[in-house]
Amino acid sequence: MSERTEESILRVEGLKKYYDTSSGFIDSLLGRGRSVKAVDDVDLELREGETLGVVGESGCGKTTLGRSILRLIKPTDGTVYYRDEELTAVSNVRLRRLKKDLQYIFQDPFASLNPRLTVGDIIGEPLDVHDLADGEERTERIGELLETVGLNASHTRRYPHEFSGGQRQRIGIARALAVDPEVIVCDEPVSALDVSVQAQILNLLEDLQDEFGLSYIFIAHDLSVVEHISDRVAVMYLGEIAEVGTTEEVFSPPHHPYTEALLSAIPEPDPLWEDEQITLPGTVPSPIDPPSGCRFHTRCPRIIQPDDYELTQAEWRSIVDLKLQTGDAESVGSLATTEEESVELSSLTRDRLDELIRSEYSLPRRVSDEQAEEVLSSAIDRLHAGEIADANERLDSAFVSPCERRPPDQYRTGDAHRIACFLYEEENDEHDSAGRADAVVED
Amino acid sequence: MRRIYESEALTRDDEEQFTPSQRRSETPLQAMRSVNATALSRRLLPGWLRRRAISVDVSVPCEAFPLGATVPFRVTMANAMPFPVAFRTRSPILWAWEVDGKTEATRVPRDPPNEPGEFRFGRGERKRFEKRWEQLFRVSESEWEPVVPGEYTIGARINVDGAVKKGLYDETTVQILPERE
Amino acid sequence: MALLEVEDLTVEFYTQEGVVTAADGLSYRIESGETFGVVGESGAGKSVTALSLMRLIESPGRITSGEIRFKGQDILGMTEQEVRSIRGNEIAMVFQDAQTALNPVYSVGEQIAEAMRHHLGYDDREAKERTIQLLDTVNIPEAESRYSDYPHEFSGGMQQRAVIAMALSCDPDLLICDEPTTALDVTIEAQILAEIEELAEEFDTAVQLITHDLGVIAEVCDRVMVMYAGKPVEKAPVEELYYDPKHPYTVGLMSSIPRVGDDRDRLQTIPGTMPDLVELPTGCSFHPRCPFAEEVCTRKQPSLIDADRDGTLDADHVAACLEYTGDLTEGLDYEVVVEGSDEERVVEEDQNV
Repeated sequence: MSERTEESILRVEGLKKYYDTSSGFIDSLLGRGRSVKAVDDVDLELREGETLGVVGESGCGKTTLGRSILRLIKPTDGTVYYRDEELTAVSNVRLRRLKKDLQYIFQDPFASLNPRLTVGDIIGEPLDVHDLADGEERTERIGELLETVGLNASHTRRYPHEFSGGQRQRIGIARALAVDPEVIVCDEPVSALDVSVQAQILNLLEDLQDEFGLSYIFIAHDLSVVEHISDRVAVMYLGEIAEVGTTEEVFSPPHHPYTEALLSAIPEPDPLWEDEQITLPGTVPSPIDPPSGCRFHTRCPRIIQPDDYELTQAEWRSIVDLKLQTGDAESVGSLATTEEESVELSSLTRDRLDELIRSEYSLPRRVSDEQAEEVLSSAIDRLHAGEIADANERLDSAFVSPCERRPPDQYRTGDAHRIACFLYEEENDEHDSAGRADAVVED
Repeated sequence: MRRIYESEALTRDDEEQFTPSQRRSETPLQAMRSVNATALSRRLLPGWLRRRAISVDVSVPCEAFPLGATVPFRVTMANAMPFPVAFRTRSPILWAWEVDGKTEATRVPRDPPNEPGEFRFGRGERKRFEKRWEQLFRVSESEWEPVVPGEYTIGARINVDGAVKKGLYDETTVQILPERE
Repeated sequence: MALLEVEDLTVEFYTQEGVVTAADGLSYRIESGETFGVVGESGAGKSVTALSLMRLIESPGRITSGEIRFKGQDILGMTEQEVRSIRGNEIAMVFQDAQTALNPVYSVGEQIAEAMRHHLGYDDREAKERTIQLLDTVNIPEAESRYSDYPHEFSGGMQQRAVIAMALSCDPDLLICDEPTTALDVTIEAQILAEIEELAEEFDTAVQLITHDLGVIAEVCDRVMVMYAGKPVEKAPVEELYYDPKHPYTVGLMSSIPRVGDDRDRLQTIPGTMPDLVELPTGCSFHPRCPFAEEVCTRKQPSLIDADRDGTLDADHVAACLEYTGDLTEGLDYEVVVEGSDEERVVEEDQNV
């Protein structure tokens, strides 16, 4: 549910972009999901004059989101409002006119500039498309734009390849500014640049925002960059918004376990920095077949235990890991490789297998909960008998986290702060019962 | 994670931040030629024709500069012929600029590798190089000395024997003016 | 005698534009078991160091002077065959792009096993077993079945791990990593760095880590060399580099990184861009961008000298700036501010220009 305020310049509701993989008859026969759910039901809001950062790792769908918002690609479902106009429903003619207000900056300063056009033509193109200026006026405007982004008006006759990466990015920015837009979606605008050039471009974007009253959606994977430039941030994971709020709310301190892990993963430029680095087990799951419930549960260090057990958090996480991997594993041997010998199942005693598995999954000789220990033991028994499916079933029926059962809602923990995590479900109820506060534009 | 832009050193810009490099031809660092153009050129074209085909020009925007100012100059080499021309140069250094006969305004001897290079011009190709002389001469590995006011000759030559005689050299003079009192 | 000694290495590329001096009089050493960082932006010449070490510089590039001594032996003087027996065996390399190292036509396991059969003389069975263990050591799940998978069946992070496994397969004395995690997501990067650290310790491997990322350097390196325009501008133990940087470029670099928790509105930038290596500025290559540059900086090229000025030879912390030869009149004016809050320490540099 998005907040409606008169200052909201762009509003996204229930946006979805699914790609059909169509891998063939067999796949559909086996009921394997054929859609890549790149963006899955996203709500967002951009307020006038602000920078909304969208951050996440590769495959989270942020670029697809950016492009869908501007209808550079056609969304599968959902609505996008620009001021109060339904962008997703307007005619092509109207959309073209609206492109004057909504611009896009690409990541790759090489690929996004036509190498055959001069810089002047590249910047002049949008002026021509929208009939904004011609002749003397056009030339002047192009010169002005170049100066605005820190280049020289005399460069109009040059070609993109004659410029460095940072300069090309400036050209891309000049092009976006040519039509005097209101909103610019910046897709990884500094990722391909050296650190010192990055800083220059970020400062430029901020200056332009101040001078022209621009609103930005700033998409990036680098949290430090996003944190620096954004007023509010949305964290994406596997096509969904995990958390959204002001930069401070989201990062200092972090709430959602994924945000926490992302932050802790950033190598701190301080050699004496002693941190507890959170390492996430496993890899990002496939967006074709995302995990049930909360998509992050397969890797979440704070996955919730059901009330039935009283294990330590570490034990619980490990048991769920074991459960998940027995579901995927092809052989028992693959669950417990050692450094000294490769595992020959038949030669292992049940106790030895038990040892190996517990050591691989960092589980103690006996876990703290009696009941859990029983199930775990019997599962290892089945593994010893070579019955992986059976072992998996036992673990699966006994150990189910509430995080797996259903997807979390976006819980409110502040005026603008939403967290899609069951850990914050209670706070949401508190917040709601205290009465809905009117959304206030914060700085 | 920060992705870095892997740019070749040659497309980087100099300290004039806002001036693009005016390189017209792409220079791949690991060039592999499938055809030995020099051999071909030498076999098919007589020496005098090759040399006539190529012109070298050195030009400066004005003739006098105040003491201490940067002296920009442009070296243009053009192939007048509608076919490629190639030279075998004395070392991998294909051409060089000089001030008062000192290569690259340095008095420090340089020892390029003892092997030939190949300087190739496509049909009708014009190569343009923008260089700058900071009114300094390099006097040692780590020291430069400023010049005194007077006349200086800026030249450029293709690195072959007898380049001057063969017309593969050009020069121009500049005046360095004393500071006004 | 250090494990690796690079002395006065100069690498030049002869191009139409002129001579590109990608490395100019580079000297450094790496001791056994230590992790040495080479940091700089693109165009600084960092990769050239690694390529030279492995004798992989190709025309139009040339190593025009200097010596590289590995375990006392001169690499530049070896025959191609001798170099090949060291490459992959005693010195191994991990590139940024895993695809450079992994042949798409062979399974991952096969490639690693081959290296072991070739260099260590293992037989098929031994090589395969050891490979599976290695894959497991670098945290590739289901190592045994993954052995026969092809590179394209691995995710980016997995590929990089496989490349690391391949690099470590022959238990090299020196591992060179050139931007090993730059193309990876931050959470995967964190894992891989931790793994490199662990493995280096376990196998007592020295590591030369080349990167532009100051965060990565701080995390895993013992000593660091900062490069600019083909030359080393500062060398120091890692803590000293961050807490007591001596070269204005290092200072500028540190202050232009956005850091989480940093309140500054604008990032401090170093104006301009790295110079074209074909046309380096006279004197100190950094002078056009240096806020503290004086006339002398255009005429004299500083060499790396003891920046601590306590008179000891072969100093630990050296920087190439005329400040340390006493040539500057105004001096350098900057401050390193270490901010502490309850849980965070943020290092900030303020240039009081």
